[in-house]
This record gives sequence, structure tokens and C-alpha cells, in this order.
Amino acid sequence: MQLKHRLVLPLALVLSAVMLYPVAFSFWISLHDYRLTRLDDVRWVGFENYKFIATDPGFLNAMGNTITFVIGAVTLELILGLGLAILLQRLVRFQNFIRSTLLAPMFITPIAVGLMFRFLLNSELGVISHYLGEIGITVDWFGPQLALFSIILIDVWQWTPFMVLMFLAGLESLPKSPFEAARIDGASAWLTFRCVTLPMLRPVITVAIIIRALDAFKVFEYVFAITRGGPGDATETIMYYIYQAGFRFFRMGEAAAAAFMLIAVILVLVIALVKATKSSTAGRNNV
Amino acid sequence: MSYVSLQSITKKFGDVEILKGVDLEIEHHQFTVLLGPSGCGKSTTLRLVAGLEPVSGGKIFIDERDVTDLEPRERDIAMVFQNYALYPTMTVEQNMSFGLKAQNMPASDIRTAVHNAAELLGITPLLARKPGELSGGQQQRVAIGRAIVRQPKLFLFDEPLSNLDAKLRVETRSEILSLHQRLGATTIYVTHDQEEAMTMADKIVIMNQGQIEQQGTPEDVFFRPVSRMVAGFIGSPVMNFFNGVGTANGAIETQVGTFEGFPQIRAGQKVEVGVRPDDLIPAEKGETTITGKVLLSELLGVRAIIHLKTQHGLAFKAVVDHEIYRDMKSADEASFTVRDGRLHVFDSESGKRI
Ligand SMILES: Nc1ncnc2c1ncn2[C@@H]1O[C@H](COP(=O)(O)OP(=O)(O)OP(=O)(O)O)[C@@H](O)[C@H]1O
Ligand SMILES: [Mg+2]
Repeated sequence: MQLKHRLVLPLALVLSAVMLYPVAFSFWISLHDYRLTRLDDVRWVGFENYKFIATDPGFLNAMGNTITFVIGAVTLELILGLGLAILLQRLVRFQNFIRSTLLAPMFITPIAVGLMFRFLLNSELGVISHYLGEIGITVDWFGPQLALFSIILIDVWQWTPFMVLMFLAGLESLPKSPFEAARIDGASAWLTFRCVTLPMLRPVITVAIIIRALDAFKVFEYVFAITRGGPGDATETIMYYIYQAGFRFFRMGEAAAAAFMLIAVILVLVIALVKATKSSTAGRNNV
Repeated sequence: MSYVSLQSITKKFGDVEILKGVDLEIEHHQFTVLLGPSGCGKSTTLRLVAGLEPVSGGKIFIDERDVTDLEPRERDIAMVFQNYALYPTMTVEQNMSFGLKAQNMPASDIRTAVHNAAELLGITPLLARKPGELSGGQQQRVAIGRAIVRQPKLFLFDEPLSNLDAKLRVETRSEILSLHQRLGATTIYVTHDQEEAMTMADKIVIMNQGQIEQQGTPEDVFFRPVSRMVAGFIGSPVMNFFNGVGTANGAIETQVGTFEGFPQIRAGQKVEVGVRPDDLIPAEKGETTITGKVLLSELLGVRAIIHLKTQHGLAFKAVVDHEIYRDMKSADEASFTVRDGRLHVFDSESGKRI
């Protein structure tokens, strides 16, 4: 064995112990009828679990909810984040102060955020509901129509600052001179934003979307802390579905299969987004 | 009033005054070059004319219109930046179209205008490429193309050739000039290269430390520099300077000899005399001469630069013809006399021409 191979060996061993083995094991589980209640009776079922999951209305509903959640949350965070970043970039004073304040929501663990909003938005006890009531607005935040939307808003509250900080860093790293050229060319603020800023910021935007989307697909804590998937199954997400299947009903085979389906969906998304960045950055290597 | 007029322009960044009252008149169709050492405020002046920075004081007029407080787009100018400042994500065609698009010109007119400009500059084959796929010289042309499609009142160039190699620089220089003439444009061109300034300008404006030191035709600044700074800045190889003192009868005594015929000079006045290396001619017997030991000689072609040192240790240079160079390079000493009327005298304290 060459020295260079030997040097990576320790890391390779650690990685396979903590990553490869669990992944391989869960894939093995997904091919078996593996119930925690009947560990003496683990049977090979091939892709039966996958077939079952793919046609299970509960799973499809959860997938639909998750995709709605991801698209809703990431889009809102993107628009708000970009808008705030552009405003913040123009701000001369207090910029650093606002920047550090913005970090605050990200420091809070999501389960605590979930609990916090559960109380803030509670229709009888919540502060927000109370003051909305004062001005004559009564909203049932966690009713069947709004529950998923409310969870999206909570995610937006917690993660828009991340987008702001990413975009602010991105905006600041852009070269100044194209913007001066645009001023000389007489472009309006909107034209400059659309044709100069946005295309140059595209790589940053793509990365931010990938990071946020990957994370949003795994939304669990807010659901767990607030709605438990309800009312009905209105807020049941993939992660919550997997949790239910595995740790409430002890059907590990199905849970593992669902997890791999999620990985497949995410993989397709990431590949598509990375392809999109590659094609947009080609040909601007030395500018 | 002139076509472009800068009236007592000042500019401060914080507490530092970068421009200290610049007055400049530029005629229609004139090619004006702003020249000066690094950091003297050339780019700042240009950016004020463009409207990229607000002035701290003074007024700017373009074509009889007070543009001092107007946005760049209301001034009808085009600018070529030192680093080209192309839009990295757009193709060459989009880069050149952008200004017209901002003016809401119909798409078909834009196409025609851009293709005509591209034809003129020989960049038609590049139209579909992005700036990152172009060489420096090509990017430079695109930047010029972007400026000319808009047919502005005034062209501003900020050291557009400084990123090009020597040969391309000379070529592009004449291209810019012929474009300027063909378009009947009015141009302000910034450079710190005195040779570029001399060859291109109708009018040279020499700046120093935020002020205009001298303005005039290339001949004016070359043959009648108003100050020691201009004399030292213009011309290559640089002018030779010798310290001297005025005497009562209008002569100047220096370590290299006595020069006569300066009635304006006061006795005891400290001065510097300057003489261009090209104005030193091999001396005949009996003339006032500057003699020096030959240290080194550089052959440039038909002409050669001789480096010498006087007996007092003062270094100076002379430019001589090729035949004389052959004799001098092996000689130990050489004597020169100053061509008639080519001696420049500057007051040591004020630096002003006497
Ligand atoms: N935005 C700014 N803030 C503070 N000082 C500035 C700013 N821009 C320029 N300066 C200062 O103004 C002075 C003149 O700068 P300017 O860019 O006009 O010089 P220049 O003559 O173009 O020099 P060069 O030949 O090196 O380009 C410099 O001392 C520079 O440090
Ligand atoms: Mg400059």
C-alpha cells in the first residue's frame, strides 16, 4: 500500500464506521420486514417496503406537504432575504449591529422555536393572537387551512437571516465597476438589479437555495413541537412520517425505505440546482 | 462658453482635499489628455465629470448645460474604465446593447447600432462571447464599443490602455484617435504615460497634487514648461537639471559652467537650469560647454543615449546621433553645448519658470 493511501486510512475507517455502516445498514433494513417488536422475525422482502410506501396515501400526503413547505419557505426566505440584504447594504450606520442581531434567531434550537411560537400564536393564550384580536383580527393559526402556512412562517422567521447574511456577503464581494458602468449607461435601479446584480449573484443564490432546501426537507421540530402532524394530517411532513413509522409503530423497514425515498428526491433536486449553477458560471472564470 | 467647462472644482474625501480648485475649458471635437503622476487626482476629475462622484465645490457645464447635480445618465457621456468594467454575465452583444436598452430604444435599432459599432471595431466575431472568454485587448475594444454605440456628447477614458502590452498599446492608441476623428467626438482621456499624452492630445492638461500645473498644446508643454515639475514630467529621457545662482549681470553660475543672457535674474537668486538630453549637441571649440565622463551608452537605433558624469559628480544624459555615438562610446570624456534658446530656468523655491 502506498504511503498516500495509508495516510487517508484512519479517516476512511472513521468515516465508514460512522457514515457508511449506518447507511448500508439502513438500506439493508429497508429491504426487510424489520419491526422493533418482532426482531426475532426479520424477513427479506426485497423492494416490497418501497412499493408499499410509494402507494401509501399517508406517505404521498407527507411528501406533498413537505414539498409545499420547502417551496413556500425557501421562496419566501429568498425574496425577503434578497430584499433585506439589498436594503441593508445601503445602510451606512448600524449595519454591523443589525447584522449581529439578525444572527439571533439562528442561535435558537428549532424545537425551542417551535415551542415559542406554539405559545405566541396560541388562539387563547398567545400574545400575537391577543394583539391581533385587539384590532379585530382573529386567526386560527394552527387550524386545518393555516397550519402548514404557519409552520412555513416560523421557518421563515428563523432562517431568513441566514439568507440575508449570505446575500449581503455575496453583494459585498461583487466588483464595483459594473455598477458604475450601469450608472453611466443610464440603467434604472430595477434594470440594474435584474440585468447586473441578479446574474452576478446567481451562484450565491443557488448555493443558498441548496443549503436551505436541504434543511427544509428535513423539517421535523416545528411539527413535533406544535401540531404533531395535525390537524388531521395537514402538517405531516416526511420526517414526521418516518418518525411515526419507525418510533411510534416500530416499522423500521418502512421508515428506512421512506428515508431513502427522501434521499432520492433531494438528490434529484441538488443535481438539478448544481447543473443550473454550472451552466450560469461557465465562461466567466477570469472576470 | 466652451463645450465642457469645469469651474473651480474642488473635491474632498472626508477631510482630505483631493482636488483644490480645477478650472478647465474643453472645446468641441477636442481630444484633451489629463496627465500627471499617480495619485494627483486625474481619475477623480474624470469621475466628477462623469457624475459618479458629487463635487464638493464648483460647477461643471457640458454643452452649455449645468450638469453639476445631475446623475450620470442625464449628462449624456460615455466612459471607458481602466479595468473595462464589462458586465461579466452578459455577452459582448448584450454588453454593448445595455445602454441603448436602458434608453428604451427599439430592439431592431439596437441591433443595427451594435452591429455597426462591432464592425467598426472588428469585434463582430466576438459578439456571442462573454467577457471572461476574451483577451485583454478584445475586452478593451468591447468597452470602447459599448461607449461609442450610444453616441454621447462626451467620451471619457480612464487609462484604457494600461493593461495592454506595448505593441497593442501603440496600435490601439492610433485606433482610438481615428475613431475620435471619425465620430467627431469630444474626448477627455486620462493617462500617466507622457508619451501617450504627447502623441494623442490636442490639448494636454498636466495635473499635480490636485491642481492643474499647465495646460496647452503638446508643443507648449514640451518647449515651454511653466514649472520644474512639468519640465521633469514631460519628455523622455528626462530633462537634466543643474543647480545655479544668479549673478548681478544677468548670468547664471552653475557647477557645469556659466550661462549668460538672463536679465530677469536677480543676483543671488537660487535657480535650476534644465536642458533636455536632445538639446545637448556636441561642442565645437570655444563654446560654453558641459563636459562629463562617459559612463554608459545605450543605442536606441538611429539615436543613442549617453550617460555622463561631470567632474563634480553630477549625472546627466545626452541624446546623440548614431555616428557621434560611435566616437563617444569609446571616448573618455565628451563636451556638449546647449542648443540655442533651449535652456529652461526655474526658480528653486517656487519651481516656476523664469
Ligand atoms: N473614494 C476615495 N476615498 C478616499 N480617497 C480617495 C478616494 N478616491 C481617491 N482617493 C484619493 O484621491 C487621490 C487621487 O486619486 P485618483 O484616483 O484621482 O488618482 P489618479 O491621478 O487617477 O492616480 P493613478 O494614476 O494612480 O490612477 C489619491 O490620493 C487617492 O488616495
Ligand atoms: Mg486613476
